[in-house]
Amino acid sequence: MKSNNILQEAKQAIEQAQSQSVLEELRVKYLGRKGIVAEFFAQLTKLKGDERARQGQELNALKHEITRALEQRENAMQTLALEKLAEAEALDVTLPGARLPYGHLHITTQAIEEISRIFAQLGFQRMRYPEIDWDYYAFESLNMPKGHPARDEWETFFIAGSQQTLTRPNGHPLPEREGRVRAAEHPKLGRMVLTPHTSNGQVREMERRRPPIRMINIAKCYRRQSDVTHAPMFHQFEGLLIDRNVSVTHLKGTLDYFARAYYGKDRRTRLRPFHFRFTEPSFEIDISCGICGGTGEIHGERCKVCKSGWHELGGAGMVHPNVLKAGGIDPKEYSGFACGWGIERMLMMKLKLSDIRAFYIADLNFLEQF
Amino acid sequence: MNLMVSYNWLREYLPGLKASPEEVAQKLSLHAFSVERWWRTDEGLENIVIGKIVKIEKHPNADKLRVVMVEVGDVPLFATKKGNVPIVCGGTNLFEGQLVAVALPGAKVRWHGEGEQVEMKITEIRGVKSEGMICAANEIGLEALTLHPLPRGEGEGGGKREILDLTWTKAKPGTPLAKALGLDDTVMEIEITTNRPDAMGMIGLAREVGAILGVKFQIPSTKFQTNPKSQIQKSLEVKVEVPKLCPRYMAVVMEGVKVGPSPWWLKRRLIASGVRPINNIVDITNYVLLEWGQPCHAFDAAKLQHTNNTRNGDEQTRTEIVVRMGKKGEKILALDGNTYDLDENILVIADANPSSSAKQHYGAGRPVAIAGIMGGEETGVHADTMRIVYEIANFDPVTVRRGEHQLGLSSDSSARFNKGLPTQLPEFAAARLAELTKQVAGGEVVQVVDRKPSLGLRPSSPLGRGQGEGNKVKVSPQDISRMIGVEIPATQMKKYLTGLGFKVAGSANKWSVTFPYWREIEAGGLADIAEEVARMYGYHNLPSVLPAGAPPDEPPNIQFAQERMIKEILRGAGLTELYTYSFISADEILRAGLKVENAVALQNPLSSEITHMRPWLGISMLLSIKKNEEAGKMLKFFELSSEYHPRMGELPEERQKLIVSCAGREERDGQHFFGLKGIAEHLAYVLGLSDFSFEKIAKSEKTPWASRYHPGRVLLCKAGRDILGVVGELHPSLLKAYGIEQRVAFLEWEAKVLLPLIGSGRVYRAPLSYPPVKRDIAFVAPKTVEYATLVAAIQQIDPLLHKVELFDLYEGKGVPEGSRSVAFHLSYVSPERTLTAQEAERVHEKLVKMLKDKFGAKIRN
Repeated sequence: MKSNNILQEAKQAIEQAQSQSVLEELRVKYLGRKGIVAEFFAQLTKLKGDERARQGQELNALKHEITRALEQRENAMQTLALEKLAEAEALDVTLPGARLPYGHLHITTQAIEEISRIFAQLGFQRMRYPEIDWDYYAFESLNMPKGHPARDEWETFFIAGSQQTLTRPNGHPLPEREGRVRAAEHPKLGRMVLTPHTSNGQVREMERRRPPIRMINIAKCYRRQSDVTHAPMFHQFEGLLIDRNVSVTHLKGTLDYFARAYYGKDRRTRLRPFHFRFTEPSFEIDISCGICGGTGEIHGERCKVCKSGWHELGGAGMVHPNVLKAGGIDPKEYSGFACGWGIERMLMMKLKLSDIRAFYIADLNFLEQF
Repeated sequence: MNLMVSYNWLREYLPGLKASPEEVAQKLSLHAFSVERWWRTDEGLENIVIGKIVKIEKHPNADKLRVVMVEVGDVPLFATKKGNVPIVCGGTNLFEGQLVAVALPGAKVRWHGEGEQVEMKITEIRGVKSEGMICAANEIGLEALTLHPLPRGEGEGGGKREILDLTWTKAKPGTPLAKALGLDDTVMEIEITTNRPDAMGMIGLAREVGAILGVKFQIPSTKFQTNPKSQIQKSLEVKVEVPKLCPRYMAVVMEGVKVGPSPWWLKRRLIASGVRPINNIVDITNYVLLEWGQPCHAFDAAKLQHTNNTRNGDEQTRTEIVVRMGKKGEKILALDGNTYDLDENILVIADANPSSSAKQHYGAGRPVAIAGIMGGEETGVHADTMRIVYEIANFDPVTVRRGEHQLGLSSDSSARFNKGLPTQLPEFAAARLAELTKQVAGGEVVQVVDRKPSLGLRPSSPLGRGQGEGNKVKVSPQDISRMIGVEIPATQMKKYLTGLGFKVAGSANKWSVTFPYWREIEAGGLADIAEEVARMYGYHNLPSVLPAGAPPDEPPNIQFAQERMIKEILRGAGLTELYTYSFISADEILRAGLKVENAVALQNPLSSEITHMRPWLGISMLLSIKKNEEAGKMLKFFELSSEYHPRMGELPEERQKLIVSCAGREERDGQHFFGLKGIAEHLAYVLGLSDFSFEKIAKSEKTPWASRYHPGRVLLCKAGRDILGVVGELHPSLLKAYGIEQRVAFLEWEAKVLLPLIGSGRVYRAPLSYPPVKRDIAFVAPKTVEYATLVAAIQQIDPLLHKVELFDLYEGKGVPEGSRSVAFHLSYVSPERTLTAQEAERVHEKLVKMLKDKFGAKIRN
């Protein structure tokens, strides 16, 4: 029988094969449908009995041996190829990635999101109230009596009552003087104003639900001012908590929690006396300086960033009893605190920006940084 | 209001004050008012001392120089010289025995008042040793001493190039200059809150510091000294026509004053407080303002118009002061040199009309001052004034504030009046004015007028505990503690309150607390008292406690999370978020083809750019695109903000809208449109909008967007039957109106419709149990056959057709003119069994036939 010779010959050829294609050719030559081994199998039909069985076994063994040789050679070749992979298939991996387009969320959106998230952890719910509201919610109910400076026309925008008088028949606006009109007015709630602060939400929230109240309101506010540090439109954050036995210490706790979460775990806040109409007592909130740690000194020299150890963050206070009463809440039973600050000012401090107007002039170069 | 406060001046009312200026500043900030900064007034005067000229000799080598021996006392550095040092000096006004400012080595000077500061060193000048420098005022930053001349005997010869003569200081040689001039002081800049006009003066502030630091506070007592021998008849009459706006008017007439420069001590304090010295009388009014917080004004009595009456045969001269509203047409030349138009909204002080008779003169004279804001130039005090009328009054805060704004004029006086001052103050200020005038400018008080037309309160002692009604509060110490959040002993609370001038009466848990007169404007309830106690205790001393109690039981407001999700999706798609002003100008509204009268108008616009609330967010978007057009980039913006629409008798509707925009040079026609259509599909997919679809807008349709969008390039976006808005290119005429040259596309959706639909289309199906059979089909069809028509026809061919997906679209070479080649991936699947190739083939053949028959398609291979 030649099977031994065939095996020798096949093995030799396989050993010498240098590529996949040669190996494939050899596989077809020996093991293919019309290959050498198949031919031998075809001839088996001519044999009979034991001889057929014996040769059949022998052929199966041959087939097995060749298959094994092919596998071994293939494995060996693969190992060899893998060793040379780095050179053989090198890419210039320093070329830039096929990146997705960069989008940008406005820095104000990002700040609003972060503040909301921190206060949500303390159970404060974000709410939205009208940006254009009645005097009652913006001033009167907040203990700001008639004659208070904020209610003057040079501080706050009012909404015109009769639109027609503002324009000429051709639709062009009248010059300012000529076009002076009365503000839109509600018989009970007073004039219509562009809210100069987010505090119009206070009494609205008290009317919406009974205590406990834990609300935050972040919204656009408007004031008649425009310079480097004042924009006619800006955003304010405001937090309101009303419950039984709420004291100044709880305001401190809440602010310290915010300071740690937003600015870093070593930061803390400090309250200083101030004055607002709708809170009593009222405070200014300082946050400890991140550079000198609130000491105002670095190696015996005055901290150049804060000069005093603290940065002013915003205002706060205990909700004035008159405001609680306006919201239908008995100040003998409940007390609360409110705190708030300008989002842009907070960001300007963080980003070291000097002109607030950069936020809203839609300058692509500015926006693409965020 | 920011106040500049001299530490040394403050200490005059707090003799026991030991705390350093830094300590005072820190405590004030924590317990009362924010001290924004502080600085020493002797900064730069180190190593400059008073020297006495002992001998003057000619310089051997220079004609214009002298060699001066100066006694500089026991300066350690010069101990061996027995206190005398030689100095080469070019000054012309030197004399032996003169006291001068000597800059010793180490001092910082500015040669001839020019250039950078240099440090003094021992030098040789033309061969003669010079161990210091005799200074002119501008060489050591003391121009104030020469710019505002001092009275005779104090610093004569303060010429610019001349040596500063300090003989008047009578200081011992060697005394540091700063000390000799009273400049060894610290000035603090303090922000006084608007509710505390009582602290807008040294006395009020000292009272506060005394209470905080536990230091006894005292006011030097002053009393009126009128000269009983004065023969001059009482000739001034004060009439208050508007008692509600002028609750009190005091006038003090002084005779025989001598107007001139103020002494250095007075000047020094004004300068430290940021007030420019003028002359002694004006300076005194400013001094009393700074000390008591009560504005005062001085008229030259001779310049006030008067009436001449004959009574009992005697000619009588009568001067009048009338407090009344201004009149249209009246003008006044104010002390700032500007002329102001007055009207019936402005409260004025007027004098008499000399030509009218006594009975009809009221209101006829001319305005001589804008009440509470500024005096008039014509009746002001000048060098030759001898008889003065001091005005010490109280004016309505709102009237003063509105006057300030109407005239665009404010002053240190109006800044205090507009906060509301106690009506008790004038009498203290008047006495102090008279006393200081006598001391500094001479003269006698000849008449005091005190009009209290609308004053219910009577002041009591000079320390002035108010006696009026409505200034008492009933509180309990327990309530105070509860509000603050810590237990503070009642005795401690009482101490805090009495220190601030409050009176505490009543039993252990039922207090009646009386506000002092200077705090009456604040009188309220428990919270006011708690505030005083808490700030004295120190807010910074309170513990930090997280609020206890359950949070409100209410499901969260998901709207904010939804808005955030939309923004995140768009950011991920490469868009940049904008925030723009909610207001715009009327011109912009017209430009957008909208009606101005349908927009919410501001009653008091800030400028011609800020007159209306925007009725369409697209206007802001177009302006932003125009602004960035020149950058030459692809502009992909979005904004989720409100539009404002008026409603009758209600607050305007604040309608939140999402606008996504695509602008910039297109690489192929329709790029912006399809870019945004893709964004629309992406949003619909990620937000899970149910039955999202596009619909063509009929040309005849009168929707709000019909005129804004390109009629051939716009689609309605719908979810089921709800109309979200549109996606489309903007109308060329609108773009032209905005001067935008490239095409611009918007996606414009209503948040009110969109938000509730988020997640509505998320229906989950079981995974397919049987494998799909996949086929592709490519064919050429006329371009007039729209894609949507093709897809609809294909999808209807058989229920087994599961998915149709466009993968190629081609027109051009090889495809006949007017046709295009379209190719789809198709997927056939049965929910019940594994499809055989033959079954799929049958459907596919049906499809091919339909395409040929219906659209004349030619199948490609």
